[in-house]
Amino acid sequence: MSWEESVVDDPLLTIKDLTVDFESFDGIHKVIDGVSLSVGRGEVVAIAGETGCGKSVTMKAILRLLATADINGEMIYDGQDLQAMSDREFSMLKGREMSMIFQDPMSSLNPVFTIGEQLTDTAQFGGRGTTGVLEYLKRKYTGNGREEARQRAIDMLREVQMPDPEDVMESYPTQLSGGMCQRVLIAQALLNEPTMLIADEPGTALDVTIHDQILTLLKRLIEERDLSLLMITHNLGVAREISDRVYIMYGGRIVETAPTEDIFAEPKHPYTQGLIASIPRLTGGEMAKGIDGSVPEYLNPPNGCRYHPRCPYAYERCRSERPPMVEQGATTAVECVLYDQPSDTAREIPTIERTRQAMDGHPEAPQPTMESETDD
Amino acid sequence: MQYWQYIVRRLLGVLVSLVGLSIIIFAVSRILPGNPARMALGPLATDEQVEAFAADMGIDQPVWMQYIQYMQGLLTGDLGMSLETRNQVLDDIIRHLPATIELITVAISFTIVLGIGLGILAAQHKDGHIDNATRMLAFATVSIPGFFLGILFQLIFGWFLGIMPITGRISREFRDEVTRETGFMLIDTLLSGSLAAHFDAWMHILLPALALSAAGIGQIMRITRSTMIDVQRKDYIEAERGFGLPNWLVVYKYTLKNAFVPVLTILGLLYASLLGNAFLIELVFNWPGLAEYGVNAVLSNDFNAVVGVVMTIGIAFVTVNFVVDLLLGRVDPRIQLERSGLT
Repeated sequence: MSWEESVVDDPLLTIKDLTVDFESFDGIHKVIDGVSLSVGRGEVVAIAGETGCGKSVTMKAILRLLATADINGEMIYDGQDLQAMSDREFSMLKGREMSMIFQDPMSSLNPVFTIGEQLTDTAQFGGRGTTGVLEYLKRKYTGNGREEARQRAIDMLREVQMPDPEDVMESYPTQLSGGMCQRVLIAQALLNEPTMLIADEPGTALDVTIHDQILTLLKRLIEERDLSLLMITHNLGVAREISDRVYIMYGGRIVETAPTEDIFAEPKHPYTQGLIASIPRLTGGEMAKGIDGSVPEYLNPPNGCRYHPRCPYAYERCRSERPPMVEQGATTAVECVLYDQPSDTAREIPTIERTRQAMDGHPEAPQPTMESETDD
Repeated sequence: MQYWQYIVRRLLGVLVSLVGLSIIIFAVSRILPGNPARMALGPLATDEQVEAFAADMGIDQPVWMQYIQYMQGLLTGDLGMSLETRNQVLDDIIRHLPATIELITVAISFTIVLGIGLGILAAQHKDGHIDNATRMLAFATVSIPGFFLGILFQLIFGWFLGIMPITGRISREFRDEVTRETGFMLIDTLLSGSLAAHFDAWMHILLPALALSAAGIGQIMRITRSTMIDVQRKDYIEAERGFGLPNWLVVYKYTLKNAFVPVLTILGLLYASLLGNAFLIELVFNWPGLAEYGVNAVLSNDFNAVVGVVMTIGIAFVTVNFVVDLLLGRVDPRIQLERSGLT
């Protein structure tokens, strides 16, 4: 790789060459294939990509929530090597230093316990290592630790603007609306004052107005608490609204990274251009067309660049070699051979206008040039 | 609808089932072949004696009159006289019932403790040695009939090893020491202050209870295992792990309570089959419970006793299912909320 991932000076979280493989009866699924990324202190970073591109798997790999996967690569959090940590050491970190907001608010709360029970347990025992049974019973039933934890939970609910927090504490998840469940989950993630938050598409399962409220709330909390946020989204609009920097992910690889403004002003990777060209516009008549095809399968991924079967600019080299990450400035890089070609064979550099032409089927649009379609 | 209204409604449902049951039992008991008065008095009695006895018992009346008398009796707790023992049927049942309840209670405790315990263990070591071993055990216990297992236990522990008593509730030497207070041997021995007798009672109940509970243990084990594995894949369990809660708390509190819902339902159903199987086990182990009494009643056409025994079992079954329903509401608030319309 010609480009070293070190876009921030003093990163809180650095991931280098992360690979996640799942073994099934059919063979090995290489779901994450060499992902590198970093999150600075107080920085809001978004990972954007289609459903199924490996965003959630990346997050879960960081938090050790994938029991059956084969995970390799380097993960450094605040100078500590996460891979080298024992489960016990990691359990002191998870939930306390790094916490996660889960994707589906309705299914991420336990249906048979009250919100109060779940929040108070998290406040009292989350991220505190392996508390034993006796210690649990002691702290739950004697002393005033339980009462304090409960109070902390109520305060936190108030902070996420939950109406009637005391009533909510006595409720079961089925009695709450989706937006309220989402607020509970955010409160639960923040209960133990984490430094870093990992958010998996918060609010996407909710309707648009609630989604917007949740994002506004999240933005406020990030500022007030000086949180670092790594956020997954399939919605570029969300990334634009909330993040400082964006990683575009495709087929288990990072294909482009740039500061948020730059990526919207001047997207470089054909895939990023396709994504941006797919955003419906309020002006300009026709509905935007999407990118043809779907994310690759992971059992037999395409050779070379995983995007080449869908790319209008693709040519022989795209199929024969994995493209390098090409530096395009201090904090910008793109994984595409078109930005790394010898000057004598210069091919067309993708632009969003040309990509849009290709998606619209314009007669002069770029066409893939392949000698044969036989992939081995 | 409030929760108490829901309970009242369920109670009414219980009453309806019991009335239906009483009608069926009445019909069945009158269909039994043979003249009950003749069977009760034996072949030497004269026809006049038989007729007098029949009139005395009310069985010469038309069927609908008999039904009215029968229902009056049921409502006042008067089940009539046993043709065989010449005691009030209710008294007979009260004397025999504790032995059966004791046996079933111990058996269902084994089922709960061993079934759920081994099920959790198997789920935690999915596809490991423990899981495979419990799977074999489940196959064995579910496919071998309880009474056969009972005979096997008697042969192994009573005959070859000679370490366990094979029949009865207590050994002869303790019989005089134990005064009957409640009819429950495990309690009576303690009330009599004899630890040795108490231990002896346990030795007697262990084999029949194990034989009786075996099939249930297998079932509960498998259900617990599969629901535990199922629940462990849920989003909320992943979220709880993500919030850094200790592993045992996630497993034994947050997963287990969710897994209880199907387990509890199966337990309620199991109770019914335990009552049925208890008849065979009681015969094999010569356990002086309701089975002995009931089987004799059926064989001798003693229909008052038959009605009493079947009615008792029916009441027990309906009651247990009512309790299970209430418990389900406690375990899973969604059931309670849904039924009481509070969601």
